[in-house]
Amino acid sequence: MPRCQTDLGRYSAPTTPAPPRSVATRRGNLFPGANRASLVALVCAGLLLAIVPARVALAGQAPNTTPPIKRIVFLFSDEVTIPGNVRTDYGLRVGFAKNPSFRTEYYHEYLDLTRFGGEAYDQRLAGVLSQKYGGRQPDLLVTISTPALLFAAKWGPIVFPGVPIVYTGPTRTAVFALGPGFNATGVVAEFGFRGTVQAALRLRPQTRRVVIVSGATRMDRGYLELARADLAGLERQVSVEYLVALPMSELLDRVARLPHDTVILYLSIFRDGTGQDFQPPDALEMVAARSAVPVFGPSETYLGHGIVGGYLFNWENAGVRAAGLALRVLHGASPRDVPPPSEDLSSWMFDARQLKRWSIRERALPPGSEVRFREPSLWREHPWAVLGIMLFILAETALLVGLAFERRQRRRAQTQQRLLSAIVESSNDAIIGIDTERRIVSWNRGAQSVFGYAPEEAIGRSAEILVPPQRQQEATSAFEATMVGHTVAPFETVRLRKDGSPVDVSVSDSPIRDSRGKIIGISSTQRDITEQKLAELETQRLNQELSHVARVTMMGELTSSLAHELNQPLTAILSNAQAAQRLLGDGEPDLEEVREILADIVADDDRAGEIIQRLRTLLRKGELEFRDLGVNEVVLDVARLVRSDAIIKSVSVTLDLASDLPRVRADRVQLQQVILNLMLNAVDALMSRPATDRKLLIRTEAGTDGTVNVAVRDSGPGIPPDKLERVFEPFFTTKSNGMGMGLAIARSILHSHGGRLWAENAPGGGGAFILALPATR
Amino acid sequence: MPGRSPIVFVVDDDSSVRRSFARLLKSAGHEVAVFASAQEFLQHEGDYGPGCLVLDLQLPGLSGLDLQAELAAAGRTIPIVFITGHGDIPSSVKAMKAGAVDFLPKPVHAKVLLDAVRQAIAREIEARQDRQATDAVAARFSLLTPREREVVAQVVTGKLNKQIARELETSEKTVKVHRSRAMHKLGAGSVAELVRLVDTVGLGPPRR
Repeated sequence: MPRCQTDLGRYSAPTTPAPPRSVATRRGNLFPGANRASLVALVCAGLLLAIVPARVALAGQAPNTTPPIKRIVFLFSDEVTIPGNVRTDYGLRVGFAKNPSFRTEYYHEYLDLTRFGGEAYDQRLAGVLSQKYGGRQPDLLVTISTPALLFAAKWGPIVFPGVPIVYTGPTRTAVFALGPGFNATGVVAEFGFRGTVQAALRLRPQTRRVVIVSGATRMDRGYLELARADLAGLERQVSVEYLVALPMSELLDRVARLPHDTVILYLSIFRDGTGQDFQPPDALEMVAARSAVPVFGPSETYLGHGIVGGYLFNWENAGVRAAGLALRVLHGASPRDVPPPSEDLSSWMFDARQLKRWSIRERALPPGSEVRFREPSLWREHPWAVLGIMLFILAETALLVGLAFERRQRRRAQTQQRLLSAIVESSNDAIIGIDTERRIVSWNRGAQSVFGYAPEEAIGRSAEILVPPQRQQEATSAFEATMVGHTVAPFETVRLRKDGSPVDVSVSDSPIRDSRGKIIGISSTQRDITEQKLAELETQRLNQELSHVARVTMMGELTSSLAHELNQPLTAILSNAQAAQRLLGDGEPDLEEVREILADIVADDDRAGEIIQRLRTLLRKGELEFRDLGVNEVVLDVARLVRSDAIIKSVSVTLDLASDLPRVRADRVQLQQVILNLMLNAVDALMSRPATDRKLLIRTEAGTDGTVNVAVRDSGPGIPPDKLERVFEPFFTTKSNGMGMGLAIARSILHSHGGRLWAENAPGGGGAFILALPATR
Repeated sequence: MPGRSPIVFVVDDDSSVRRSFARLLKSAGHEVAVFASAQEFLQHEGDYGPGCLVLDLQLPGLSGLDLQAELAAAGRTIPIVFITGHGDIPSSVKAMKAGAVDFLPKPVHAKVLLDAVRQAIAREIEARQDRQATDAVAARFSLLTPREREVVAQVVTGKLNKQIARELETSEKTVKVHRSRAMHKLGAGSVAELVRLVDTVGLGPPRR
């Protein structure tokens, strides 16, 4: 059953992937096709049917009135994968599908004439076709490209007698060569070589040379001839060079070295000079990739494979048009009567990527140009999808950026926190976190060493465990002040260690706030100041020691004066007592006089006692006692001590004491010491003056800035300006017997009282020392 | 004024000391006037008769020594007993040289003070008597004529009448007459007595 095989072969023959529409077409073919040989075909196709019962069921619903079937054989000049063929095939089928009045059966024959052409091959091919279609003549032949048309023109009358021919894509020359007697119609391929080259020259004004590239087959040569003809006269504009039928490697070398004032016109390479076959677009890609200059071409099928663009022939459109002509022929018209369409099937098309590569601006392109492969073409095709994707990407990006930012923030915060923790942990001070309930929530190493509690012992307990009972009030008010937002300045206090022993600390509390500013606890820094305290006490002790030594030294200076002071009451007492004795020795003593004498004696004794007491106080080595006292009293006390000395030394002492002075808080002895020191210094300074000009003035007054001032002025020679400060330096002395500590000690005493002591020269001459003490309210 | 007991002036800035001294001195029968400072004494001393001074060495303002110097400068010879709580040697030497009666450290025992005051009063009385004698001689001298004064002045230098006559460009006889009249007016029995009298009051300018 050879026929059966043939038929089967016919069904299995089409390898071209059919557009979806053709599936329906072929499905419809199964039953309606069952005329003469269809039963055999059915039997032979039984297996197929069994495999696809669904299709049978569907086919069973087919309408009863079936349109006639037209068999169409497509004769392709070359092989199936040539892009021109693929486009043409698609165009043809789209064109045929426009007509619903009959159904079509397609038979594709890829003659491969460009690769295998030759008389013998053509004959054999004709034989095969004759055998193949001998029992089933098609209704129409469609030839694609020139070789197939020539083949059909030569062999058609024998193999397909009486079958009309419609062509698409042959050259105009070929059609012309067949002569007017040839009964066929169709669409010729008009390549816009000239237009393309002229456009190239316009787009690349620097161009001085056009290189035309072509391959080694007949087809290549055909196109080359077409181009040559079309480009006749181009040599007058630019130099024209041909790279034809070169070995591919050589060709690539040549194009790579082309100078920049060149453009390439790529026609086709079906085969190179070494005999290697190519599909023209593939060869184009190789050429364009290596080329140093832009490549232009004539066919739409080249677009996307490396050409910048040009006036491109559109094979698909040609197919559609050819199908239109073919339908009219199938309806019974003679090809001769169906004139080919006059419309131009080429159009300006360019590749955006190439334009960009060669820096050609789109504005320079010919009007109506279509630019393909735009980068944002996706947007044009799928705006919503793109928009969606973009939104998604945006959102995604925003999210990522946000996450990255947050991550960085968090990492920075973590780093900062680690750093802070490290600082807190390494501090020697106790740094204690306390929550709003006054519970300990954090406990650093410093806290452990100051208080003796391990973190696990302290955390969770009340901060009150650190406070001795008598300090609870103070600690509570500090806590409360901090909880309402105050930062408690460091204050010195006493806290308790774990073993119950007291520890001197300096405490500073500050509130801890959350990110919204709400106080969530306090941070309490407590510094162990035991050693500091000890050092302070030691310093204080040494200072007291020193000031005591200074006082004793001053007393030494005052000995004669003090002796005199004591002598006065003693003298009075003695004389009074002896006067009384004498009175009592009389016969009639005046007892009233004796009583007065005794009262005077008691008063003088008191007076002597006071002097002794004053002396003892000054010489005492005791604790400081800060009390509110009147500066005037202190000045009077001291003046009394110095009085005799001043008299002996002919120094006249004047006291100018302001009334209503505020009181000051001071240690009486130390204040006396300072004033005494200043007065003795003044007396010393006056000794260089004549006895009539030894004046000492002590004035007390309220200072301008809430102080009480005592000024000790003398009429002596004054203090050299450069010594006004130096006199307060330890061991600075102008006296032969002085220790040089008096003023240094005096100043440190004033400092410890929160006051000041300075020296100045009076405008009228003489020196002055002024001490200022803060007044108490 | 003769026979009246001299006043004891007490100058001390310490009222208590002042009062006690006054009591003691009064108990010994002295009339006492007290002053708180040298200035006060100088102002009021004239209100009183002659006396002696119990003076504190250390006084504010004008000191004891200053007062002593001032009185001497004014030709006032009042005996001074210095009292001091601070008896330094230079001061005491200075005071004594300037004619102080005594220099007593405080506190001073009653006997010591009263003895010193007594001595001072004695000196004052003696001085007063000297003054009275001198005043009498001076009165007699005032009776002499200028020529008689000139002759007396020559006589006390031990010159002979002849020498005196040559000196005064007169006769020896005239000199003799003046001499005897002067001797008589002055109540001098001998040349030695005349010399003592002239020594007491001085003769003034023509002494040489």
